[in-house]
Amino acid sequence: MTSGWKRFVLFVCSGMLCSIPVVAAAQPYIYPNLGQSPQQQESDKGQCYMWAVQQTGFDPANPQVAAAPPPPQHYGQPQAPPGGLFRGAAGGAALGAVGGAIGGDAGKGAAIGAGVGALFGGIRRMRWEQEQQQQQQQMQQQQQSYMAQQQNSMAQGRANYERAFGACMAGRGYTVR
Amino acid sequence: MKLLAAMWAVSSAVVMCVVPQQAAAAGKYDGSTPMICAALMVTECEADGRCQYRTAENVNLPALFRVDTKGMKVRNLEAEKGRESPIKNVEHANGKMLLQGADAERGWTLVIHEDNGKMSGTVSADGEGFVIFGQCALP
Repeated sequence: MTSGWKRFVLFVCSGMLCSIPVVAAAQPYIYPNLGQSPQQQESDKGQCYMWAVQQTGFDPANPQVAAAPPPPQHYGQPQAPPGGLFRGAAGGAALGAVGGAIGGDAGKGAAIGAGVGALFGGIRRMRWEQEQQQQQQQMQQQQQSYMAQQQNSMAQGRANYERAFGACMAGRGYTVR
Repeated sequence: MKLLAAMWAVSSAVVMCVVPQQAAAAGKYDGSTPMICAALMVTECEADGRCQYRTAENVNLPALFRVDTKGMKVRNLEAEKGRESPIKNVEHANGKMLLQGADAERGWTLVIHEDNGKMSGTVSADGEGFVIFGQCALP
């Protein structure tokens, strides 16, 4: 086999590999040690593809990894305590109405609350804000961790698949790099 | 002469000591005039018993507020914010003035020492409470 022919075979093989999503990420070079025909090589590749998918559970044509579901967006979000600790001017009217209603004068309370908030009723726990910030940070960290885990699992699955595919092809008389 | 000078000095000292006390006595913190109170220390407590020191700012409480028992309201000094709580009840007992109120599903009390203006307060809500210590002054 001349070197030109070899290059041609490699070129064709590479082109065929491109048509298969199996090695979409990194296309291995396959050399037929026993002079197999392109048709035979294609057949061997297909069988090795199936075998490698069965062995590793990773299908590069449909890359999926079994992992924990992504963290919910609002998991553990602290709920505002009843009565609206976080009330500002917007919630002032309702708050004032509540205060007024307790005192038997809802109208006055609403008028008070329209531009204001309750003095003592507006007290809020410092811990609430801290928890909220912490949980937001935790949620971001969980999402980042999940993404990293997904990427790692994907890379690991692909690496396993490529090893299995290479072993299969080697067993059939090919050199895969 | 010396005796006369000594008597003058003593009487002057007595007058200097007595006059401020009379002024203070005239300005008792009994609610007859509005007073300015400062929340100097706040303790935040949760239902499980955990309590932590806070500042008024930490818990969204105005550091300074006016106690107006005639107007039956407690109001912060910053007019633009205009937060206030109505006073529901005023009582006097053993030299203390007790104020009570409720707003926004919360009950609150203030106890002000009528002689020295020392203030203690509580704000209680569902599963949480705040204890406030401070000092009142007459403007």
